[in-house]
Amino acid sequence: MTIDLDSIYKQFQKKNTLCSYKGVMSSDLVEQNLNNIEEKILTENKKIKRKIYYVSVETLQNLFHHANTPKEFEGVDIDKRFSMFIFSKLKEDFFELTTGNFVNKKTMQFLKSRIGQLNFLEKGELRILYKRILNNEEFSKKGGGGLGMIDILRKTGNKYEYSFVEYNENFYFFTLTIKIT
Amino acid sequence: MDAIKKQGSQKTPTINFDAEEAKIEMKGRSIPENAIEFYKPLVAWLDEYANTAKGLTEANIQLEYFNTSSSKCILDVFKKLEVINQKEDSEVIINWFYEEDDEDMLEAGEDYQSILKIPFKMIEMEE
Repeated sequence: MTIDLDSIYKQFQKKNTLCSYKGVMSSDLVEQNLNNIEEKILTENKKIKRKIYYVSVETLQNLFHHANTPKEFEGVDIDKRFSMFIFSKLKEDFFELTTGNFVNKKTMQFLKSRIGQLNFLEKGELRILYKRILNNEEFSKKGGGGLGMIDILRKTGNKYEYSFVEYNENFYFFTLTIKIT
Repeated sequence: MDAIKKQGSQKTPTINFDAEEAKIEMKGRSIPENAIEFYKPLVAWLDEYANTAKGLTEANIQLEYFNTSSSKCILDVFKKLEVINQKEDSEVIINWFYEEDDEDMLEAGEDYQSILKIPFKMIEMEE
């Protein structure tokens, strides 16, 4: 089965897309994209600028870490480190950020249930969960032990939209959309 | 013991850990991809400082942003300060600075405060 990454990329492009990228995310590209986003939102109000910047850091670095975890993708014949990032302004004080990357079946199942759970939690519950993980659980060397996903919800107050497009029985292309208001 | 002084960068905060002045300062952005690497020497410094600290140590934390990978490392720094605060002849206060109307940064400080047994002072900075 082939997967049409270009059409997925296009699908998330909006009339007012301010910044987008597809390819492998490097540390330099994280920085470049962040600078680019900051420039594009200079005239927005401070509160939303902070949220946008925070969400951009977390999501871009997530793509970077993911791109540097090839073990998960051993023996797969596509460039599985491919990722995408689309940031758009939908209307005044309303922004959307979508990321996309490949995940294996196990990660897909984990993410599905994790996001499903997180989307149901209220702000207060997210805060309790955040503190519990921050204080008790071991972090992976690269990431934040799942804290990022919780914190994005805490800060934006909006639920995640997501999809998994099947590449083959073991691999899926995962898209995650965050609304920033 | 030698102080640690580091100029801030796009991704890392300005650091001033000074034993003589009994001051711990972190200011700016903390969004490195590998936060553990950045914070490791700071945590090690505090381990050593704990042996000599006397009187009041002031920690001034004025962060604009920090990523989740830094959040755990910042907690590690604070846990070292907590140890110093628990010693008989030394105490620590954490001054947590946040920009006016940055509720998220205030909440982040309160989260640390609720996890730790150490006095925090929340200081709102006017624009």
